[in-house]
Amino acid sequence: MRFLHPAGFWLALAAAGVLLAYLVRRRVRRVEVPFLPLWAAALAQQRAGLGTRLVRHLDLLLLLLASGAIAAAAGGPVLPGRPDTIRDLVLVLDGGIESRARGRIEALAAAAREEVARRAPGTEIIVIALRDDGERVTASRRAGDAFAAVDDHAAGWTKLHPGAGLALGRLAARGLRTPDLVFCTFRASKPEGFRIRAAGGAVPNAAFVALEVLFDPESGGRIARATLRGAGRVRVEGIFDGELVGERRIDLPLRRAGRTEVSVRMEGDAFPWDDIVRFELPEAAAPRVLVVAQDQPSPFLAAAMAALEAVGAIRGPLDRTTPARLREAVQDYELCIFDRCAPLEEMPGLRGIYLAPSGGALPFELGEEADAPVVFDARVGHPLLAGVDLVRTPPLRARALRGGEPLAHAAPGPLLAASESWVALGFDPDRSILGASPAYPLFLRNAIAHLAATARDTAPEFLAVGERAPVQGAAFVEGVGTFLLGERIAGPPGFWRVGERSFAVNLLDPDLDLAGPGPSDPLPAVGDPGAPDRRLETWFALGAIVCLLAAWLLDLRTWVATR
Amino acid sequence: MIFSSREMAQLSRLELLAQKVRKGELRGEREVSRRGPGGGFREHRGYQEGDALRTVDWNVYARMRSLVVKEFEAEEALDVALIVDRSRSMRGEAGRCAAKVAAGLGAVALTSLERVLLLPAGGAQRAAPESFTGRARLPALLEAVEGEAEGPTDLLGAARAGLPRATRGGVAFVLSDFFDPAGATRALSYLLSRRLQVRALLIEDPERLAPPPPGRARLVDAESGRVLKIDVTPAAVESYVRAREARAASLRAFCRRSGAGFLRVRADQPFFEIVRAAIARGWLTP
Repeated sequence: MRFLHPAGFWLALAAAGVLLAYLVRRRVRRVEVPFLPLWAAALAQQRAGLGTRLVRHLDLLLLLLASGAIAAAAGGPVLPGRPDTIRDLVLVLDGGIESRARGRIEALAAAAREEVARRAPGTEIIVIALRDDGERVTASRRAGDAFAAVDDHAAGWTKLHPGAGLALGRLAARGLRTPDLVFCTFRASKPEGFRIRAAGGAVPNAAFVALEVLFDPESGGRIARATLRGAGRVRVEGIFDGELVGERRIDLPLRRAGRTEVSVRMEGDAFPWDDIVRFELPEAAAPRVLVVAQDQPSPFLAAAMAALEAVGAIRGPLDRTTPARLREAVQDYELCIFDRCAPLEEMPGLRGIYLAPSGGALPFELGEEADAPVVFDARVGHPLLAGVDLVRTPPLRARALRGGEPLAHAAPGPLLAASESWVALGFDPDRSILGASPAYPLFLRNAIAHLAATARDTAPEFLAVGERAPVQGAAFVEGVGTFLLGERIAGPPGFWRVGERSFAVNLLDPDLDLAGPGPSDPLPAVGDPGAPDRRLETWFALGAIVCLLAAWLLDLRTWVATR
Repeated sequence: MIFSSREMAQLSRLELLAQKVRKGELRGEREVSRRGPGGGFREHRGYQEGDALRTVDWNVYARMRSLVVKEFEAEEALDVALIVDRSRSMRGEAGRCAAKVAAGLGAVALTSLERVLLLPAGGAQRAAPESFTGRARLPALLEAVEGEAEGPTDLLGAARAGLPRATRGGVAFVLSDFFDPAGATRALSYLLSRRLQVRALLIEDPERLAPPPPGRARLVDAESGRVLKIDVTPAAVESYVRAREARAASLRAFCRRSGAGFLRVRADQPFFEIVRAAIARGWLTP
């Protein structure tokens, strides 16, 4: 056996208990007294006044109240709320730029459909999506067609100016019966909030269906590059709609044997909002390096390469070739070091370190030549110059470099430049202090590491979450995030604050309305938003407890007073 | 037997106490209201033939030259009347207390060679007054004070039945809760009219006099059987206690006005203490 309403059963049982307690309490006891006339005065006093009789029955009254409250609580009393009659709906779909991500507009449309389904039959519904200029693009539909309308507009792209306000002031909400306005948007899409003026005060209620969007694996958001930058740092660049929207530097754990997992959290940009992408960094293998020289490589270079091989920075054996035989030899090597020479022809994808280039198919241009140039303005914090001080290792003769990212300057121009596929030094280390300096192998190590980090950047130009990241062959692990339907926020017109965003809805102050003043005769908010039913069993149960407590206290007082 | 062995020992001590009373050693402890026995002067009268010459007051003759004789009080045994309430209201501790105190007072009186008259008030059948004289009758007195508490309180009827004729004076003890429907003081007034020294002992049983627990109650009078339905509330209890105290105060005031002794005792007090208190007040010495 079971009870449909177990609480009601127990409450009814409690009521029966209360009545039983009362009957026991009210049982007339027979007491023999030595001399009855002593009680005559007390009886006369009790029969005297109405107040006395009422007080005499106060405990009965309390117990009856308690029983009634328990019975009422068992019945599950509900205070009916005010019905929200005649409330039409203006449904606004934010088809802005952020909605272009795949899946988002579908989520918005689903939220809108849910909002439509919530309405009573016969509700007049206007579904609105806005183009760039905020023009209304649809007419009203009946509730039965609202789903189709939602789908129609979900198919088209519109743009809302972020932060500039949503001008619904000219929205033809007149004629609707006290419409509600539901604005389906992404919270992250309006970092500065926005303002809405709809039908000049005719919207008594407004609501936001805000989608919290984390990084969506199916979206079009992409990480352009995630590049290792020196010791334990990675540079992440996100690109959306052709525009670089953010660069974040994060701490990266030093790689150890095996794979290292990295989380990149992007914050504060318009899109994506609080996205998190995680990818793995496998232990990068030491690259195989090919030395290209016309004849014998310089002894300093040979010594530095031997040292790098010894410490595992490069993978042996150390091979050497000439520019003429480069194309045949380069297949098995990740990068090349050109010792005072250059490729004879352009070789796309070739990664190289150019030492004192003198001509040929260079990925950069050569500039003026100068004797004993003074090096200044070296980017000492750059990973390529870690442990290397070019200011104190002046060359005897150098040539400026044009192209790439200049990292050290001298009088004729940059002497050190780099890009993702090459590093060039505009002077011969053998003819400067650098060649004989311990900084030389460090420089080579830095350059090899720099190029090795981007050596396999042959992935698609943009990295979407779920794709492999071009960080040393990093593999995507998990794109955290999906659509989260935020809490439906509703309330009367006015300023709202949702999280860290502020919203202004249906303000009558034209100064606050970026869309300009609304109609000169704003419609009064005549709608009654209604109120939900209120369940009262808790209050009745509390009342019963209070009554029982009062009856008990009354008994206690009587007992104490009669002792 | 209502007396325990310890109480019997206390009774013996009371007899010793009574001997002191007889010797007058305790006389100073009481308030004397009239001349006591022992041949005290009463009045002068003219000499008549046959009068003993030792009765002639020679001082008067020396001044007045007439023969007058002094007349003295005749020495008589004192009557100690013990009116013991045996009504239903005295059931339990109150009745036992009254019986023990009566026995104690009777023991003292018998030791003083006084005549003790036991007048039970109430009871299933009105018991006839019994007279006891001499210490030898003490066991009979102890037996007689015992009895079942039955019937209504009728102190006046008991007094009238036991003292129908003019008494020779004496002391009358009334041991009762004085819950007499006819009036608590009517019996005392009657005894006073018989020129008796009246000692009223108001015996109250705290247990029986305590108000019932709060709530609805049907109060049944122990003697009349009358029923009263009442809600025992603080106000009702307060009124009841007030009425009880007023009644005791009224009785005390009556006794004070009429020269009767009054003692309010609790039924759970040792009877020995109560009798001692009576002796200390000189109640056993007229």
